Amino acid sequence: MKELIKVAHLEKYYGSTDNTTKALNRVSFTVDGGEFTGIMGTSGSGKTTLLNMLAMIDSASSGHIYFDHEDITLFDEEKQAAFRKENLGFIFQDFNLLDTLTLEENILLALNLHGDSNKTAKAKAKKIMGELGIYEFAKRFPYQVSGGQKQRCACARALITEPKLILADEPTGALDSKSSTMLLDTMNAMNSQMGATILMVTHDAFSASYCSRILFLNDGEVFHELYKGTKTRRVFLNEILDVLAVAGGESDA
Amino acid sequence: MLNTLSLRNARRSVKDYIVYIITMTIISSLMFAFNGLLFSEAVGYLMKVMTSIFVFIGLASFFVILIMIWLTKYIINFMLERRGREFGTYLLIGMRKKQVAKMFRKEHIILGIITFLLGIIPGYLMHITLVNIFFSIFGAKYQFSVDINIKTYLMTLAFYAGTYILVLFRVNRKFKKMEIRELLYLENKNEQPGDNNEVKKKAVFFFSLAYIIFFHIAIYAGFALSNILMLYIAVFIAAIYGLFYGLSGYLVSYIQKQNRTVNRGANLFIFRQLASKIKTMRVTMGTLTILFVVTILSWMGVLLFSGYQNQVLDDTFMNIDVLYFSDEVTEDFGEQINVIEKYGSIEEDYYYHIYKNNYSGLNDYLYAQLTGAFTDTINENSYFEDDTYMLLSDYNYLRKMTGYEELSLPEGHYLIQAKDRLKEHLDNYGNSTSIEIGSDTLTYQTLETIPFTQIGINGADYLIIVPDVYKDNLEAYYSVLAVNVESDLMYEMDQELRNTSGYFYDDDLKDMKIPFGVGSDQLITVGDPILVRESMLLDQYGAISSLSFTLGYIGVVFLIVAMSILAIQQLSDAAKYKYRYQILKNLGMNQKERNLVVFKQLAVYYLCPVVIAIFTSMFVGMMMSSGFVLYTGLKMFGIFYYLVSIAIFLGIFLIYFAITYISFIRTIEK
Repeated sequence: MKELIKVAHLEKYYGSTDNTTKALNRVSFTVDGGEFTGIMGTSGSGKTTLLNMLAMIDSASSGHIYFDHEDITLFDEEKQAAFRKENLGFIFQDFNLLDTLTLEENILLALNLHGDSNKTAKAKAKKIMGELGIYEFAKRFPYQVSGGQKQRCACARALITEPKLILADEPTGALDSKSSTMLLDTMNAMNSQMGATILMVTHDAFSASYCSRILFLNDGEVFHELYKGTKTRRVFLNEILDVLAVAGGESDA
Repeated sequence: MLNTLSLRNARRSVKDYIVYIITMTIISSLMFAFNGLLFSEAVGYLMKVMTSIFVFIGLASFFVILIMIWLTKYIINFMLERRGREFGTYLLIGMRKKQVAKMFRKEHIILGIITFLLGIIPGYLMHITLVNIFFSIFGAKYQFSVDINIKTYLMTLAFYAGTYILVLFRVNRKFKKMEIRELLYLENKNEQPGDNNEVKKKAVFFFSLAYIIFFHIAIYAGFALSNILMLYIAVFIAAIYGLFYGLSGYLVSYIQKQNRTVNRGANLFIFRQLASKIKTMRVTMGTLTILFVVTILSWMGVLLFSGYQNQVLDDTFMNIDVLYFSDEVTEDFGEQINVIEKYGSIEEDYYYHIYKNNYSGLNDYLYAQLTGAFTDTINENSYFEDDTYMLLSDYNYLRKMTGYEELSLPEGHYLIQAKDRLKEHLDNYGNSTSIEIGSDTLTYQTLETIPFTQIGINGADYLIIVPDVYKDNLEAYYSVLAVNVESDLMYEMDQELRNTSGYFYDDDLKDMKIPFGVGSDQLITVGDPILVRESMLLDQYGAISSLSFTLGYIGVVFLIVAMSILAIQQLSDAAKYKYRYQILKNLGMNQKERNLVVFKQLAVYYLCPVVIAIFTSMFVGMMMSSGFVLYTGLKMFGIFYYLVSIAIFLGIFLIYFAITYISFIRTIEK
């Protein structure tokens, strides 16, 4: 498959001159279009920093990120905003839905910003909410629905503009196991049926087992990589747990 | 969609920041009410000349707009801080910063429109009440009429719009500086550790405290030079901020010492909360303190002026409709009588002389005794050049005219008719001094203090009354015409008498043959050779009421703004506190104990600026009111007005405190 993202020698330092923390240390990898990639690692390993840099929420200290062969680390603020709007979708641990809008409106807003007409936007929203099983809650406000429903709405919002890449930061972190499974199935379907490229940060091995490939970070460096290939999810999960046992990671599975 | 979002966000903000909405609504009502006075037909008819009310309300509006700008700016910053994640989300889903800023601006404009509209009806009711108060002050009967002028609404709208334009002008820049990452993770951020230079903080604390004490002594002892007074005040304001800056450091080191008070019960919890709050809020706390000081002093001003209006004016001016001073001793007042007759029918008239004895012993005595007496201008001094005398027959006639009993005075004696507030000085003078007229010596008999218009017409501050037998040895000094007249056109009569007198040039006295004496009243002086009682009282009431209304207006607005900032701070933190109090509960604290901790926390937090405000306003306030009492002749002690002002202030303060306490408990126990 075609290469979508290329991360080359990415570095990130935080802090002042006398107290520097190296969050990422010469990280390099590529992601192909249509891949469901997981990034795992212990707390402080740099996984969220990496995701933030891919989302251009944070800037790189050195190194490059190529998106469709274009170096996004060189973008100015305006270009970043336009790029995010056109190419990226986000799913966060705590949903980041706008509490003054209904679930449907949260999805519609993303489409409106994209310039879709109201009629097409509504039709698209209806379709995706149906697919994700939240259509019956369309007119409800986020505080009126469960965490799982909120997160599926966030997925719908992320997916609706057909972005080239969906970035998910611990999407199951605030969900119970049933909702987590439902969400991961949804993400799996987004990937396999709709062809969405997903990059998911998680420290949960069970969630990670839904990915087709996993990068393991430790102290800001990629120290291991696992491919699911044709393995069953169960086998893949065990492999993940084995790696985590070596790295000292947490396992909630 | 963005409009819907702005609208929904505004609706949520109304709920989340209800205290702000109520405060802004009260301010808009007050604006409607006070601006309404400027354009009210009834008030215009009553006051004839609206200059004073225009000036004062204009001045008040300036301060009110300033404080509105500050409050709204404060709320905007507060919201920006609290809603970081939401703004971050907007940016993440592809909004441009300009779009977010525009939406935020719209939201605030909606809030502005809501509070503006909410203020209209209460504002109108308040306006009617104010007009009523005005009428009762002027002793006129108020006939209710629909008194709505579109200019009131346009002016209030202009004030409002101006405020919002100024505040929202820079919102774009604020958003431009924001980083998505910071916005999204703002909530996880801890309070920034400040600079830990405790020595510096302590030094600032002591320096500020020392300056505040010095300032009071300087003002009290009168060695604060008036030409650099503004500098004294500027440093004083800086010292208040310094006090809070230092206090935060002080608290931290106090807590670190871990003495017994800190470790008793939940005190450590309270102290730590306070220390971290003061550190992040020291500038706000300083401003709140200044607002409280201004409130206390303004209300004291209101009490003093209304006291003056109620007590002093009636005690000063005798009950005669027209008094006319002439520097000619041969004046027959024919011209003036003609003018008066033109506007009404004369019931009684009388003209008489004030005499001199070519001696200024009493004037010199008063110049030496009274700090308010001045003698440095050509046309106008506190006293005439010579002591002023009146014959007993004239005095008795005037007493009769004003409804007082006549007095008898044997030969060889004199009495003094003076202002009540000077009775001690003049009694002392009389008891120690005999008067020589020609070859006769007169001894002091008594002091009279009936209202006698002793502001230049019947002498300045005093008259020496002597039996008529001494007339030939006295020299006529100037003449006075006293007239009781029935007229509905007193104001017009007054204007014509003035215009034809030739005494005035641009409202200043000039071209008198003898320098005029106006008496030693300070602060409010009416030194005027022509007095049409009704017209003058109208002027006085107009000016004094406008001033009192203005001070009251500023005081109310400043207090509610300060209180709402305190309430908003505490209540919007309640969610955070909920978690902390939950921990206290888990640690075994029962409801009653937790409520006590909440009470202590709020009390300390609320009391901090109040105690400092009372401490800093105390001496200035007492000195100001004592000075006012001294120079105007109010009968109460100066401290009385300060204490009443504090009592009103604390009353309103306690209401706000109680509301915050109850809401706080509800939030954390929900």
